[in-house]
Amino acid sequence: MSEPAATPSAPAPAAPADPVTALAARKLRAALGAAVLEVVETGRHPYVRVAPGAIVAAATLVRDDPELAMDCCHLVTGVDWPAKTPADGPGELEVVYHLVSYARRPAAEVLRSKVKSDNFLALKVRVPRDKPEVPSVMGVWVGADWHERETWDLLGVRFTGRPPLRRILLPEDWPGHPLRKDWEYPVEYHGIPIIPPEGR
Amino acid sequence: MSPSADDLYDPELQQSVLLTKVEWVKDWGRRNALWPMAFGLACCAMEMMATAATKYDLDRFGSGVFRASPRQSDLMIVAGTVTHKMAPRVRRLYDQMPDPKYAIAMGACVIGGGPYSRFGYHVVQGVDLVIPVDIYVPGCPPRPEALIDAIRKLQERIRVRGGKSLPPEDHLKNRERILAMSAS
Repeated sequence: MSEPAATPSAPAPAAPADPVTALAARKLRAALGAAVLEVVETGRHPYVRVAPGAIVAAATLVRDDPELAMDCCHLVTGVDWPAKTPADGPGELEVVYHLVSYARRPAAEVLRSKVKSDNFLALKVRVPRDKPEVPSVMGVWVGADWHERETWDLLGVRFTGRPPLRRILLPEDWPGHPLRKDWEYPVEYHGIPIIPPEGR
Repeated sequence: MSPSADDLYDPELQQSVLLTKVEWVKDWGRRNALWPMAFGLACCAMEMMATAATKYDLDRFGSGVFRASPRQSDLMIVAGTVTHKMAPRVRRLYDQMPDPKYAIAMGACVIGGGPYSRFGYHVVQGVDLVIPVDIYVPGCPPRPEALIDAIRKLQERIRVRGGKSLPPEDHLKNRERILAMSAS
């Protein structure tokens, strides 16, 4: 009995596209058009990136659409993308919205397949680092309140159209936003000295 | 020359009288009834609770009476990561304890910031920058045996050196050392 010859030149099977992201991207493109800036449907973390001004419209759409029904804002996080050289401009801050649908349970065949789940969706927004203003999605999911406060606390993303941002994790008088890549360690804080990283 | 039992003439008295110093008796009481404060900051507190529970039974050493108030405690076991937000509270609780008082730094975070020391922005790099520390217990977290050992060492220290607590400004020498380090 002969084994079929191994074919090393055979193309790798295409990575499975995330069905929810594909569906959401189609619907968001139909509704928002050019405000949908980037769609990544494969990989470990598929997402849809929209323009900052369109985030509230996009959030409302994926919440109210009966096929998507993203009824829960699981998490709002941020990523700092500083410019590699000063000529590249101020750099960008990214806000990631991790959404989950509790109304739609994942189908059994989806749970068995390579796709992790079909009820998660990630939306992303990028804003310039020197003017990091993103419209708040508190009007869509009120639970985004503390997540937005945390993103502001640690990365300094200013969310607009919401109750005033207050620090949530750090002390009220903490200097700056420490998860920014260019954040400087203070020499001491309330009389307690801080050894800078190069001296540790 | 201090009087000894041999100076007592009456053999009856030798059977029934013990000569000692008041300070020695006070230290004997202090070291055998170290009352810790019920106060945990992070995961090390789990091991501290295990130490106080039945299996390791801190009560054997007179230290199982965890008090809910700093006014009734004479031992502060700092168990868990001390953040910059928490440090003023730790200092206030220490200041509220009556003298003589002792502090045990339990775990890597409390000794020097632990895994957060190098790149963490929010963790105090050693609680001895905030309060005077008598005994350091390494580990992440330390086993209950290690905490028991620390309490035994503190008792030994009280027995040998007397029960006076460290001066309240003892932590300032660490502060000066670190400020000199970051200036150089």
